[in-house]
Amino acid sequence: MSPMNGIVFDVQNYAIYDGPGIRTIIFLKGCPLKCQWCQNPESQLLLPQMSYFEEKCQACGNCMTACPNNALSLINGKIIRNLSLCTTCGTCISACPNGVMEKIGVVRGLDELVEIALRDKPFYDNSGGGVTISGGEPTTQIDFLLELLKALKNQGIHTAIETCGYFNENLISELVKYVDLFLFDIKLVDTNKHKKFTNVFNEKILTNFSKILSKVGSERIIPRIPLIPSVNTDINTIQQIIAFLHNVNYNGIIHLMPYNKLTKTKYEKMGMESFHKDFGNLTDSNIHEITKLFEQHSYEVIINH
Amino acid sequence: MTETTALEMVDNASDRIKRLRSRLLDDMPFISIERAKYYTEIWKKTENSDISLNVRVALSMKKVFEKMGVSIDPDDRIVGTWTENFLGIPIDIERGLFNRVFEVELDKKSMKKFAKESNKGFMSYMIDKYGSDGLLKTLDHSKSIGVAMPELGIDTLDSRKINPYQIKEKDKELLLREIIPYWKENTIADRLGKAFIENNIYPGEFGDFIQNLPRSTGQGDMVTSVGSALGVWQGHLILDHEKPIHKGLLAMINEIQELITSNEIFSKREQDFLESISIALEGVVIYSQRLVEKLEEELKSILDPSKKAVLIQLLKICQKVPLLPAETFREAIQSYWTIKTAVELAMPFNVHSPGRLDQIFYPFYKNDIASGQITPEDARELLEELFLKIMSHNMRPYSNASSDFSQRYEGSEPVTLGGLTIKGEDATNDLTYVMLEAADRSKASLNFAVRIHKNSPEKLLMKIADLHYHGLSSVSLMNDEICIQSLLNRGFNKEDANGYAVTGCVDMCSPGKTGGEGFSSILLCRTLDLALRNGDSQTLVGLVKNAGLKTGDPDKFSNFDEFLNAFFIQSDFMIKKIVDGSTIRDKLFAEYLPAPYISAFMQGCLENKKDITEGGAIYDCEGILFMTSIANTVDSLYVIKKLIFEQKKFTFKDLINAIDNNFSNGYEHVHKLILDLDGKWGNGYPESDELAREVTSHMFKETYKYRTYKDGFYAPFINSMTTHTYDGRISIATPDGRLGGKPFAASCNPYNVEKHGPTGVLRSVSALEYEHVMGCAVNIRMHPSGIGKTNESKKKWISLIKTYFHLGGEQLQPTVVSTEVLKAAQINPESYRNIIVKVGGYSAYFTDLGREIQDEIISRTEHTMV
Repeated sequence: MSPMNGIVFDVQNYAIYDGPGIRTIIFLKGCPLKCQWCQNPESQLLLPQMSYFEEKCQACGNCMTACPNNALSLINGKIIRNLSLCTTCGTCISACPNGVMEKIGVVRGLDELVEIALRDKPFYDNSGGGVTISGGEPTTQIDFLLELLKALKNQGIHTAIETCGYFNENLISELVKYVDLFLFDIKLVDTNKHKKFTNVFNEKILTNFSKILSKVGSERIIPRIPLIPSVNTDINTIQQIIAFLHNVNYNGIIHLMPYNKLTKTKYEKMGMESFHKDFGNLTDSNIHEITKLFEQHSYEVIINH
Repeated sequence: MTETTALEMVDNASDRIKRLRSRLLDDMPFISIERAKYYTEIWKKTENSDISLNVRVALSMKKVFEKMGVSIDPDDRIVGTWTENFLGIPIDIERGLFNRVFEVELDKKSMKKFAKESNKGFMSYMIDKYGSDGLLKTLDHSKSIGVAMPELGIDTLDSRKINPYQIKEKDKELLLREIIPYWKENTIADRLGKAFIENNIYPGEFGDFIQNLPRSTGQGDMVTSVGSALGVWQGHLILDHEKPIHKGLLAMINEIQELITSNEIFSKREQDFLESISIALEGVVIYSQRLVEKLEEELKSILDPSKKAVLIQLLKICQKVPLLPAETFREAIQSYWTIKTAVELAMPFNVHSPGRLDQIFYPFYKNDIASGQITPEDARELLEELFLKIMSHNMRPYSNASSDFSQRYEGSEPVTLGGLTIKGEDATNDLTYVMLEAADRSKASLNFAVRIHKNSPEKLLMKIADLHYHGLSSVSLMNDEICIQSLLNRGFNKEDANGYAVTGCVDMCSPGKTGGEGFSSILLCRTLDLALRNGDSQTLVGLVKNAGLKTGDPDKFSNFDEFLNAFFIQSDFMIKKIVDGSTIRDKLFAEYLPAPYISAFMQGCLENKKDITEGGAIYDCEGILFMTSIANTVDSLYVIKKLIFEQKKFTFKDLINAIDNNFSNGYEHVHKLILDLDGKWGNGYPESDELAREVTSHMFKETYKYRTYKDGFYAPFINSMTTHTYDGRISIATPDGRLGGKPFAASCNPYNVEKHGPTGVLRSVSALEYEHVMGCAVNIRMHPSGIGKTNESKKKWISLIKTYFHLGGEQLQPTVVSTEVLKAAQINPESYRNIIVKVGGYSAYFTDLGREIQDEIISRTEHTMV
């Protein structure tokens, strides 16, 4: 695909928890990790996908009749999609009277996205905000990502990316030119545990963090720690993270991202219900304790609910 | 994680305030006939005399003040009720907005009889016009669409669930047997109905149609055509409270008497006018003496020393004000309240808003704080009581036919805070903050319009953000830069423009100088329908021919602009209907119901020696409300532009058929095409924003072409109150895909907003030319997480508002409450009694609202953060 087009699965305005000021977030599809707690399961695959909201489906069969590839069948009042036949052409979306089908991931042009982002420029300017590019993992579409960042910078817009940190370290020198702020996920320091929960080892991630940090300083990179009950919320794990940040001489702020368990419907819509896992509840006192630990090590903490 | 802190219903009020509030919320109010009785007594007596009309009005009301009862509650620290009950309403018998409601709705039997007779008339009209087959077909069709005319039902005033009132048996007897029959055909409401017919107001078949429709018992507003209506009110206003607070009523009476006895020569009219306002001031003095007497009487029976001390303090205050100048904060507040209550009783339900209370009371507050006479906490508690009491004047006995669309308190007497001084400096003071605290703690369903300008202190903005986060939805924000420009554009001088305050719901005026903002409305979607049908109007009960002008068959138009032009011809015509109707109304007020009690407290009247109804005040205007609604109209025009003219997906004929079939019976595909069309207004798309601006600017301009009967200006207001649900219920489907019977968008809100969050909404909303709008209501519903609990996130919220104002927005009224809470409140109303939401331009208790409005509010897009 041309670097002037990207596969985008959402654009959100008035984001107030993902970087400074009022921001627009552009979500790019595709991610090299497969975190068990993933909040955006629709973001994992690079390709466009169809989602299906069974609860709203009246089983009228209109979509089945309309599908040019015979990819749909109606079984027990439910539409089943044959993924090898479906071309995500979207005919079923317009055929459905109940808005049950949705295409996740649409090819969108760079100019169009920049224009959308520019519409909110008065809000960025007044609040010190800008655009955050998230995912998935935005570097999965690296060519497009760089073009988009350049275009935004040309318009005088502050840029941030939200990254899992799992990318080739050769990209760093280009990224630091166009990214004003890195929102960088640190999930676990123990690499075996990391592999178990995210499907990848974390050496690359930790190295990238320290490399970027050494280039841009603590003002332009913020570690974001998703707090997943029974995965990384115990004192020991948190202390490992603190120790890592100390070792690499990080002295900026910390974002804590408490686990959101209300994602079941998202998994169901994508036909991924078998991958959904409930990690249970995070208590206020748990968050408080973790915050305290960071603060004892002179880190300022922002909790992003 | 849920935002538990923001969802809790925190109630910090003192026990005293809680007691007052709970009675105001839950007691069933009494209908008091005292005003009607004593007023009528003198009116009858002077019937054949040569006493002038304004003097007769002044004398009749004076009698009311002499004879009426007042109530004092042990929790009162501000004294004065407008009936003999703790909670009650008087009757505006001579204006007669609710006479028919009382006549019919106090008994099941009379309700049944009224409904039967009015339905009979309607049936025979329909049979004459369409034959019995045609009638049945029409009724079946409406039923299948699921739309229906609201029915009167058989729930009497005292037995209905929403907004009930009770009346004592002997009062009811007197009211129905003697008082109401005496006024029949002679109230302003009755006269207006007749005058419309005599003056041929109704176009085409509309006159016949409207007179045969099942009648409503309420006469608060009257239609002048399918697309326009008038409020039968004298007009919202703000009295000049500063003069009596600083000067005292005795000095004001002296001033008039000196003028009367001076060498100056006056015409008979002028003499009568001066006499009428002098009597009116005496009437208010008598009212204040009634309070003194009542306090003295209470004192006799009270032994408890602490209760006695409270009464003695109140007695001293009431002996002094408003007769003499106020010197303390407590005196200033009592002076304000006595006058406000007396004048509100003289012209009930006319909406006399308080104005800039933080400016009026500040000198007294500052002195008392400096001298240690009062603490900020005591001052705040007194204001909490005041706000609840102002709220209590704002209830109306609407007909049961519209009770699903109303609530007890309309919360529309806004208090204006902050902003600029008349010299253009920041006017925010310590009392501004005390009042915001009091607004929060009182939980009064009252609007607090905070004026914001580019030098408003950060502290004020952060205070507002904090109140919003904690769910206080009664605070709205006004953009001074735009509002002041808008007043300048309509001829207010710079100082008066700087000193503006808000009355009605969102209507700007110069307080104490603007003589009653009458209001009427243009119903935009009905006007659009006229353009679709070459001047005919499709209603739920058949076609009304020639209700508008002949603008041609739209399928013969070669481009969108031709259609837009046809719409403009129809909307110009509707505006003309409003002008004709409101001129007749204002003339009736001038000829039959002058307002000496208001004129006595309005600048310009004394100087011009003219009653307010004759244009005595310095400024005057008629507001034309833009209803049913900008969003549905703009989206409809956008659909027509794109799908009919550009993409040629269907013809006007198809569209009309689809609408007449409510997008079913084979027209589902048309509906789908419309719903799937991207780019509608409210998402910040340049094309539809530009269309919205073009369409509204044309109509705004048309309103200023005309002058009112009182030589004031006409100007647009964008505010629907609750009419968007009511009108929606009785309106057919619209080209934007809205189904028949469904609510229209509220006020200035977009309708089809899903895509671009609050920034998209606010960009679209700010696209209109507000420097030509005299007030608007823009609701935005936020989940608490959209404001956030940290200072950092609150600053972003403030920045959102500031940017919106910078882009040209005029007003914003956020409702901050989550959908979960609103749904919980529908299930357990008693646990959520204090939730205030924004309805149209005003605040209301959510649990008081009819189900239809509740559902409409829940259905508004909630901006949340994920």
